[in-house]
Amino acid sequence: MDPAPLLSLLAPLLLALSGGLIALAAEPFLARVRKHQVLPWIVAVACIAAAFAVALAPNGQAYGMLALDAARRWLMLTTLAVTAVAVGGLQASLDRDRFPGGESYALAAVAASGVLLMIMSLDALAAFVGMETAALAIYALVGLRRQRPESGEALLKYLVMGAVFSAIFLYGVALYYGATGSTRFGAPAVAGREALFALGASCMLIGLAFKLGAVPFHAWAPDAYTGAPVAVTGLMGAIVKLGAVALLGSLWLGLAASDGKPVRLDQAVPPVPGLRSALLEPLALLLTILAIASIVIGSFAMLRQSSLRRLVGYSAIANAGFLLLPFILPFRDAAIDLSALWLYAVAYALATAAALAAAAAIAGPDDAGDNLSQLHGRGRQFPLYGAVLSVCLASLAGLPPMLGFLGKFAVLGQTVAAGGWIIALVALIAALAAAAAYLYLLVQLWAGTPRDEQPLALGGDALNRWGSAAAAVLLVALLACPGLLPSSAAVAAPTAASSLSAPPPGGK
Amino acid sequence: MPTDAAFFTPIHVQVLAALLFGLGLTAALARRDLFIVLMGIELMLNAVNLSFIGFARSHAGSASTLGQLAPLFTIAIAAAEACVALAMVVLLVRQQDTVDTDARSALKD
Repeated sequence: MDPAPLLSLLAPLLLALSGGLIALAAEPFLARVRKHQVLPWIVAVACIAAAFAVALAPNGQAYGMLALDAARRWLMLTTLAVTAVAVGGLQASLDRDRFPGGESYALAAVAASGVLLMIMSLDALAAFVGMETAALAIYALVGLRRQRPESGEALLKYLVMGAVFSAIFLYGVALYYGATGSTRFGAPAVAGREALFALGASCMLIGLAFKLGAVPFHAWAPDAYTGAPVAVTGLMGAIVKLGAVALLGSLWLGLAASDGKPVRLDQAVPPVPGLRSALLEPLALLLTILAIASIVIGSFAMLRQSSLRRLVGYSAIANAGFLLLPFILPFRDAAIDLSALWLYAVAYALATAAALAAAAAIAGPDDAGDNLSQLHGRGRQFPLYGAVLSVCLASLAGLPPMLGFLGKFAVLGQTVAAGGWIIALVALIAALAAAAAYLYLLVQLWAGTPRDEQPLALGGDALNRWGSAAAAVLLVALLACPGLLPSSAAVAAPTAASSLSAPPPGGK
Repeated sequence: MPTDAAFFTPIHVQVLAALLFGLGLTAALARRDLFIVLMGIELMLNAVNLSFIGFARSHAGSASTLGQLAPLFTIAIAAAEACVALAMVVLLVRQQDTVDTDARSALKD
């Protein structure tokens, strides 16, 4: 990987962060009503500027610490898009409730910058700093409605479990450092310390599986998602998963290569044969078991939910399972290719954030009306939000004209290609159950008229209307131009290919 | 009398770090008092620091420097985490006048 100027890699992160800091500095000087009119736009503009910086930055790595490649670029653009959409959702719900503070917009931008650092980092220590930056901001967002006891309870559960699993991740980093003498992803183990290496990598995987919300580290997810404001549920569901899958991918491809070179996420890596049987196969088996358990438990629990946020919480667990399926090892001589993972993560994040931003606008005062019965007929009342929700839920359910279909297709196709057709079948059956839950919600949205007589108040929601509609359009439009989507460079054996293409000595 | 290096080998440090980590994990997961839970989390992070320092002795050159530097990151992040966690304690005690974590169990299926 070529060296790139540090500032060009840092620019997106700094732009998102400075957007947050400007919003935080401006907050005390604005009247209560103006806060919700001005601050979301500052953060949204910062996100758009950061997205341009991501698009313009060259591929490459700086100081073995940060890197950018095609897959990371996709994840970063999605993170920024999702943050802008979620800020729109926050604006709509907080303005409607005449919420006294405007700090939530700044926190969303800080969380996004932490996730950008997670995605870009080549070093587990830098990744940990990014992970905590994002997590601390999101803890504060979960407890945003300070008057409501369920909000405090969600904060308590999320913060305690989050801090415990961050510490487990960090202990993994310490053991990994002990085994390799480095905290970089892809560092080879010192001879004689292979057991320490395996233990360190496992602790890091457990920490990241918690961030994803995979079974058995999932108990916090439904409660934290239910206690948070609706728009925050969308934000945390989307960006924490994006950061966690990027780290899982870096760690996994690094373990497979173990050559001390910067990890590229958009490249297929042939695993080192000795490591494959000693380390990757047991870990892959573990991840596969977590994946199946998450998919089955999450999908079937969705059928019993009456609250939209709790439904999304279980959907997050089921989707964590789908995000772990690409870690099934391919057949013995094939390279490890995670492009299906990036595609699935992008589709999931866009759909979840846009669906909850739209739901935040129509969830009623204090977001208390997000029960399926209270959402009855809201689609007819608010056609735009109804349409956005329909597109996003169809994408989450994996119906064909949406990006979510392509994501599920890629992940399950890869699973079958790796010989796991029984796993794919189980996942497909569970996905059908999940689809039934999403479709029941859609029927509630469009069937009949709202049961309450008085009209539902809407706050200032210009950003939300544009943002969530744009995300819904993207979910359909991206399917039409698959050439743009993340895919791995077909470099199965880089050394062999380069020796073939190089001119033979004395040939000229 | 044993020299300092022979008395305090890297493996001893790692065993101590693992014990402290386990103690912290147990306190964080099993105790009901919010403050004990938060102290358990701090103990886990400090055990990780000890582990980093212990491993730094077993590496040479810049690899050793990295292990001595890493705890600085952890300390800073642990302080930030404690700020948020203590703000949470204030919030929770204002809502409900107890530090018992089991008193908060309204959210369920």
